[in-house]
Parts: sequence; C-alpha cells; structure tokens
Amino acid sequence: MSEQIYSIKNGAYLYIMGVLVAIFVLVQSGIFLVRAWKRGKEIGLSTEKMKAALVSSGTFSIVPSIPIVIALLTLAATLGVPFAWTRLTVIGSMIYETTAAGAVTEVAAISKDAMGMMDAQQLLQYDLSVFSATMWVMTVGILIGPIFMLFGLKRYQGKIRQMREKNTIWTEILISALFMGMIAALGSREIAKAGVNMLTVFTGAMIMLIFGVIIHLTKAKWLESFALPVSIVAALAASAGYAILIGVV
Amino acid sequence: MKKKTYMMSDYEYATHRIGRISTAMALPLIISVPLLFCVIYHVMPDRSALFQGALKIIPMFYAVGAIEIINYVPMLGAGG
Repeated sequence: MSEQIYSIKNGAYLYIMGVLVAIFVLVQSGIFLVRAWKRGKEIGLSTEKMKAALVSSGTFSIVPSIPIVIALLTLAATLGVPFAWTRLTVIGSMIYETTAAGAVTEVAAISKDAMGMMDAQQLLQYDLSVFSATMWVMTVGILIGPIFMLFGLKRYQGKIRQMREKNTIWTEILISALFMGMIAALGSREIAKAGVNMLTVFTGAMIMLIFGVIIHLTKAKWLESFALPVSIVAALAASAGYAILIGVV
Repeated sequence: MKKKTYMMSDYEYATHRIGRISTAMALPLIISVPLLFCVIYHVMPDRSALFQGALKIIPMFYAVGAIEIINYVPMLGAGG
C-alpha cells in the first residue's frame, strides 16, 4: 500500500464517520435497553433477575466477539483501521465483511493485471476507485436486514402470530427447519473446502452434540448457556492445531 | 394515533415506531460513509470491481439475511 493511499484509508474523514456511526449504534442500543428494562419492571420481572440476564448475556457475548476482533485485524491491513472498524460496528459479521471485501479484491486484482503498467498517479486513482468499490459493496451487500425492518417487520410479526394461533407446532417446525437450512448452507460451504475448514466444522458440531447428549441425559439445563461459547472456543483452538498438523501454517 | 394492524401492546407499538425512525436515520448514515468518501476524494468506484463484487455477494447474503430475519423475528420480537 503506497503511503498516500495508506494515509487516506486511515484519514480523519473515515475516523469521523466511524465515530458518528458508533455513537448512533450505541445510542440506539441504549434506548432499546432502557425501554426493555422498564418493560421488564412493568411485567413483574425482578431487578435481580434482569441484572443476572444482563451479566450472563454480556459475558457470553465476549466469546463471539473474538472472531470480530480477528476480522478487524485482518481487514485493517487492506482497508485501513477506521473503515474496517466502522463496518464491524454496524453489522459485526466476520463472515460477511471478510467475504465481501475479498470478493471485490479478487476482481480488482484480475483487472489490475489486465491494465498493465501504471504511473504513480494512475495507481493512486485506481487504488482509490477499488477502495471505494469495496466500501460500496460492503455497505450495500447486507442492507436487506435494515430495509426489511423498516418496511416489512410489523406485517411479518403479525403473520407469524396468526400462524402460531392456527398451528403452533407447525410454525415452530417451519422456523426451525429454515434455521437449520441456513446453518447447513453455511456449514456445507466450509465442509466443501475440506482440510482445516471441514475438520473445524466437525469439531464444533461434535462438541455441541456431546453437550446435547449430556444435557438430555442429566437434565442439566444450566449447561445450555455454555454449549455454544465452549464449542466456538474449542473449535477455534482445534483449527489452530489442525493447521499445524496439516502444515497450512 | 395510527390504527394497529393486529393485537399489539402499547410497548410493542412504540418499539416498532422507534425502530422504524432510528432505522430510517441509520440507513442514510451508513450509506453516507462511501458516498461522502467519493465526493471528498473525487473518486468513482471501479465499475467492474463494484458490479462483479456485488454480484458475488448480494445473492448469497440477501438470501442468508432473509432467512435470518425469518428466524430471529419470532424469537426476538421487534425490540431484539
């Protein structure tokens, strides 16, 4: 990365926008948190119970945040710190942000090869145009959530409520099947890559299965809160081991 | 007061309203990051990187996004 493009990617404009976006996200979350707390009081939940829920969900959000920090470090090398940080503040999905940035970079690398030699000014312009294309793709590629929330959430919630009233079991099965379909689609992509990716998916799944069997046999419901974070951390640790064993690193 | 579309508590109704207002404010803010970058640095996004990159990303992640919405809404409600 040339010094000029590096200073633009890490410049004041992107930091200012990042701070504005972060403040917005924090204020919005704060408003919903306060409203939920007041609502909890209204429906008779005790302060102790809500504090316990707050502490446990806060604690369990630390582990899923680790991949986001890893993504920030990875993306910062090519996109600069402020934009990578801004993106991971908004939606915060490691898989999405790294895939989106990678897709544009791949296309740009092929185009750059086809363009041949460029002088310093042309190269700067080209790098800036690719960087702005990356920004647009990363921004627009995941807007379906907020757009749907704006226009369709209320109606969808009403439909789900109607369906539940008609046939609760069928609605639960439908929602679970869709969720499993999504997990299967994402998981199968990693399985198809074979090697470390495949072994990591199987390790995570096996640990979840062991937790499931223990919870089912011992009726230890409290273990449910630990199943996901422990599976993630153990699969992450195992992936490092697989990488060394297979000789990827 | 607007007509409620189905039996909704006042809390749910207000949550939807606040959510819609804040999302309507968030969308322009998010989009303004690349938009103002292009304006400030007088740069147009590289067309082939933009369209081919978007073509790779949008179909997959809009499908995943749609399924996430279908799944999470019944679990988390409007506040979640």
